[in-house]
Amino acid sequence: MLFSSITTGVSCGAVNAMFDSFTPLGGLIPMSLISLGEIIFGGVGSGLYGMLAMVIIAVFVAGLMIGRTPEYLNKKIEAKEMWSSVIIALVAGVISLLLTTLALYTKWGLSSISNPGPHGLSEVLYAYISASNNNGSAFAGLNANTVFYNITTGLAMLIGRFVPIIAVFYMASSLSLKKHIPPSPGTLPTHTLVFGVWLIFIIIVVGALTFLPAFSLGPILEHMLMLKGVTL
Amino acid sequence: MKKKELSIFDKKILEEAFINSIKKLNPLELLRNPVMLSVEIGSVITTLNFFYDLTTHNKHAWFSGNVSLWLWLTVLFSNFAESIAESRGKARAQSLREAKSNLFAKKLKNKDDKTYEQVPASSLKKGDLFLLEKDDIIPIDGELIEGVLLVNESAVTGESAPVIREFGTDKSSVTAGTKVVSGTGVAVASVNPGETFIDKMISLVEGAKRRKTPNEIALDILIISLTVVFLVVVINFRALSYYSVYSTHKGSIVSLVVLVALFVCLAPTTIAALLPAIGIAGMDRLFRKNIIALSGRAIEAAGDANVLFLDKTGTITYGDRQAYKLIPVEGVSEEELAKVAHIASIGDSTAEGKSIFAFTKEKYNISADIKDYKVIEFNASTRISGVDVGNDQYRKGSSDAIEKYISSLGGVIPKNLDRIVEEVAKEGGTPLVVAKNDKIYGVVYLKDIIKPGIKEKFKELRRAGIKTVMITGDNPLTAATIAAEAGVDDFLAQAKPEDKLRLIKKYQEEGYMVAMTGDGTNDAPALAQADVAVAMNSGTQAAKDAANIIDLDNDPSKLIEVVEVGKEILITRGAITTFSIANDISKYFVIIPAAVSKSYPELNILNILHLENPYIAILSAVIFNAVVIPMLIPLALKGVKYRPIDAQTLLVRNLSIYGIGGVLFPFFGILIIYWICEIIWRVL
Repeated sequence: MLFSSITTGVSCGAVNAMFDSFTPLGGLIPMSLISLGEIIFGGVGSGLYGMLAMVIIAVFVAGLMIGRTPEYLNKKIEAKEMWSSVIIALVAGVISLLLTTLALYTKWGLSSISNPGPHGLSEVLYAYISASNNNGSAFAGLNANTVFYNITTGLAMLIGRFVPIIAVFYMASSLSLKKHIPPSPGTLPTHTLVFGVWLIFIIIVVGALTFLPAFSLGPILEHMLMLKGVTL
Repeated sequence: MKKKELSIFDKKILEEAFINSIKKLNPLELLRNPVMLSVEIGSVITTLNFFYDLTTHNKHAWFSGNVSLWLWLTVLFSNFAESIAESRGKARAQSLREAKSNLFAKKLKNKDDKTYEQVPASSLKKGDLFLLEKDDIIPIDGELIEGVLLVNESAVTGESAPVIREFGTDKSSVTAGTKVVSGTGVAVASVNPGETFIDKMISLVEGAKRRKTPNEIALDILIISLTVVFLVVVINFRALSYYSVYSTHKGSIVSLVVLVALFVCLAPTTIAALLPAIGIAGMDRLFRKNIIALSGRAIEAAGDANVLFLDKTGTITYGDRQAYKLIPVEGVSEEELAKVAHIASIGDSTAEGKSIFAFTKEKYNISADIKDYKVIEFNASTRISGVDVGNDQYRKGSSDAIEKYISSLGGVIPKNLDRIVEEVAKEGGTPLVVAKNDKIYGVVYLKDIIKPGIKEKFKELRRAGIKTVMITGDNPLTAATIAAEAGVDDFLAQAKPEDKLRLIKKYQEEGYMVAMTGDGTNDAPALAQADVAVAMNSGTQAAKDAANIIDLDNDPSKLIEVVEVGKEILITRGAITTFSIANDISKYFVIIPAAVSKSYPELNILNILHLENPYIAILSAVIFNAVVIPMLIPLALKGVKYRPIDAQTLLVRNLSIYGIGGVLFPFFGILIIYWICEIIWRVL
């Protein structure tokens, strides 16, 4: 269990147990960690920039609230940085939701699901969230080795992983050309507890709420059903 | 300008705003606000659905009908917020412009021929010459090229004391609508009709010509992206629901109306609806302070300014020197000196003279009851002024002038006079030597009095991370004293325009945003270089052309207010965005359990408000989403008050109000609306 949280949190891709066999809420934890964009620091590869994108969105709104053009690491955040950040933060989520939608509407998508009901839904959702964000670890239980799933998860990987990389470079080039603003007492401090809490709030609202409807009909519902002893 | 407060509920403004908010339903107009456009499309979908429900006698037609109604209202409320801000701004500008209509100009063919032709002011073009005489109303903004006028500018500034406008000085500009009290002059029109500041202001307030500021663009990107994401979420939700029904063979797929309702509630409609109003209202608030911003960008830059260049005179000090202390020479008492200084200042009409008269009267209780006296006016060659009473000659002047005068009368110069004079000068004051006949009594220490409260203001600004730089023509010694006393961070003494320009560039290279005020032609390069440039309306055309903000009151201290309004606009945007995003959490917990309650009653655990009727629950969330917009209109128009405190404290404060409040408030709001709806439901 701990291993699965760590592996999804840091986008490593190794697995020690098939998440498919976890209890529904047990499956929800790795899934939400990935869907937040694997923003935990120290992740292999993409952890830091995912977090930076969230930081920039959080700094932007908080910065406005203190009456200054928001700035992070002494650089102003304007349209270009905003574009890059929302792309980094949201593209993977959007593509996994879109592909899940596609899978659920087509017979190729549905035919691979081995467990009916909400659990099957979790399987499909996980496949795309994992493909677009993580190293492609699987929830198992879903027969993903079909033409449909190979193409769509490939697409998820391509868009969910590489578009943010382009956005990161775009942001880096824009930021590096900007003037350095000397810090002052009027600058938003980003190393404080308050900012940390605010950042988590933004991550939850921007990242997690995107998946709440899907999670509620997947793992959460499954958990409720399990508690009631309903099997489908 | 009339200082009358325009109420939000002014009938005429409300009417105009209402009509405009319907006009703005035009999808082409809404293209500027894509989030609201998506809500409008949603309204069309639910409305069509409602008509379909009606024709098929669906028992849930009441639901689709009500959702449609409140979605349309959401768009209307949003349009209304923008319209009312526009209407208020325009009404204020119109009241200024009305003062200028129906004016006539005495148009001249050339400067030397004073025979004029009476023409309507609206026919004057830029570059035309016109004659100004006593009692004329100035027909158009212009610049004097000949003569000196005393002008009453109360129509524009509200200040009743007339001001001098003189050709060849920094105060050579004349403003349309103001009245010549005395004097004759020739002015050249500096603008075409329809291009005055007021006209620019009006076009800035009107939607079509308003350009989005960099901050608005960045915020737009964020809220439009979130809207797109929520659109995907809703489409996905439909697929999830379809799959659930398909695999379990129970319940029904979430209806289109519920999906649209979910989408609109999740999309950041609150901030999208109020964003245009916040910017317009900011300009309007400046306008109420008689400050005209020539672009929204300028106000926003003002909020970012972290170095303020402040003119010493008028901003930090009152500008005229005032008596501060009396220092007698050896062998003279303070009272004796006070008496001589008092009499020497009788009938002196200068600000310095009056202050000596009042100071000695108040502090030393001296009241010379002298009827028969002769005032000796200050003259440029002797540089001495005073009063003759009988045979006694009371004199005052600078130390070298008085010393020369006393020596010529054969008097003695007291030994310690030079030392006193030197000390006063060293402290940044102006020593004025007082004598009676051939005897020197002592020195009146005249000082630039620092405006009360300005020191505290600078302290606040420093806490908010804003540096202040004092600009003065004084020598470095005097400047340093006043700078220390006022508590500014830096000063520029014996400031020449080139020095100002250089210092601005130096700060900008270090990454600072510089704001300054100016009025003279030689200020123009510095004004053009500064990030925020406030020109005095009395200043020269060159200065006004280089500036991006014009102050009708000609009060340089208002730079600080411009900065505050700039910050308030940003804070208001941030606060409402936070509120809008935070609202989503509670709306999720209302709509999702309600939407799937038929298929999966198990998910009722997410229904933390325990709303029994899912249709009313969804409707309540939609209604809440709509009514929160008009509820926040007053906040958007007035702005969140800026307090000069450090960033951390300000953040904690605004986060607790708009963040935590934004999460909790909708729970209560939706619950109350739910109860009301349920009562109505039962009654019907």
